[in-house]
Amino acid sequence: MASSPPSFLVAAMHRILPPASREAVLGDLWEGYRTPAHFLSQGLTVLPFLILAQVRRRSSWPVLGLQAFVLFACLRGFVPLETHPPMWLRAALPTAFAFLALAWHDAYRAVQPVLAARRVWSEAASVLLAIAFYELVVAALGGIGVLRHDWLLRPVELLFAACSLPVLSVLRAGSGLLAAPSPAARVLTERSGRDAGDYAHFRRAVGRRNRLEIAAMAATLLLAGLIVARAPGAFPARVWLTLAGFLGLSLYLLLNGAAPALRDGGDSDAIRRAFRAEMLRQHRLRCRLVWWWFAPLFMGLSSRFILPGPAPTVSQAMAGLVLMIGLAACIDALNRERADLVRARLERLGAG
Amino acid sequence: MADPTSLGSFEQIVLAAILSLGNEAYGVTIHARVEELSRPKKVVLGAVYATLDRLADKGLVRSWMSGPRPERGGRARRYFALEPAGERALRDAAETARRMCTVVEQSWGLPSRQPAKS
Repeated sequence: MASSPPSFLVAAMHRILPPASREAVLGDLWEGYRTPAHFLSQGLTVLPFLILAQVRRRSSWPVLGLQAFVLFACLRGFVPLETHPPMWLRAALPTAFAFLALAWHDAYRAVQPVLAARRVWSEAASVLLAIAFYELVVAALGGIGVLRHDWLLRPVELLFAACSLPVLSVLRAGSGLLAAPSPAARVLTERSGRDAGDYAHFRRAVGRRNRLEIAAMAATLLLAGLIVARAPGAFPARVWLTLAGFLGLSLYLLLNGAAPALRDGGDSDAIRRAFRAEMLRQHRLRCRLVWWWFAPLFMGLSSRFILPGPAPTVSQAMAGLVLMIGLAACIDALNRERADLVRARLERLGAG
Repeated sequence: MADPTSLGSFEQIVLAAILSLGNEAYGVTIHARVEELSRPKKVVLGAVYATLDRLADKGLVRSWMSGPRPERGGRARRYFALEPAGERALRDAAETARRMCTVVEQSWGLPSRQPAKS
């Protein structure tokens, strides 16, 4: 009997194990090797545990929850129409596919930090692939007569799903400040010391995230503008207020969102003080922005469930309240999670 | 929020395995020792990994990678050791188990075992 597993099996296992546990687990499987079938079965038995452990460790549940909320809303899951299949179910299935894809993406994320922009794009691609996969599954099931074709998403829903991507990306970019330092920041660290280099990295990350957020707001304004221009009838004042709010925030981010450059000649303590103050300012700004991003969803939920023109039924109003409380809880949890990260970063800065 | 030092029964077994293995606690040996302690129950290797990760997140164990080893195809071992908080949590769990054992033995009229002298 061979004392080491066949190389093709090792290569296959290397591919399917999550990167964070690959080295140690593959070594353990190698050490316990008896036969190729035993090696394979051990690897496949271990895999679900490893994936779940990585999802638990590396996923942000508030972010995943908010992303599912946004996608479900964009797929018109909250539209209370009497249809068959029901609107909520048609939206829930692709949302579940996308949710699993994002969790999967977290489990298989590289161990080394990557640039926030790369992370955002790869996660947007995961959502699109998950929805495309859902459509393929439904089309295949429709082809053999198991499902009717009206389970497929309509073009307008696919368009809305694509439009949810800016919001999903902005949510994900929240941890961008902790992503990999850019080459320029590394050079500055070598030249001017760790604090100045860290601040330069932070400043660049803030700049990147502001640009992403402004682009996402511009995309939202453009889409809303198109809808308002094409839709018949007048829109309520709250729609205009929200759009004006997005415009105002874009301008604020453009004019006042950047982290200022450090003054020349400051000592290490001065750099740390400036760093600390700016990190707190950016954190407060982000916390408010997250609430604002979800203002349209709060308004949509209140107009659909609580104030739908004629008096709402009790169950309808209760459902609306529960959804709004759930959404608020997710936002609050996200802000707390980020506050913990900022606190840990400030402690490291104080200790450094 | 759950107390990070409160342990499930499987976590106690994994911590006991790490303690007993000393400097040789890594995936394969921990799994073997956990199986020994959980006899006659079979234990899946994946459950041990998941528990080790959870214990590390709770700050009860620490881990580090060894250098590459030829008997593992050049791959490193991930060694584990108890943190002081892990030792405390395990000691508390052992005390509870000892008290429970005494009560059961007294209730069933069995002769009580004397605690081992160190």
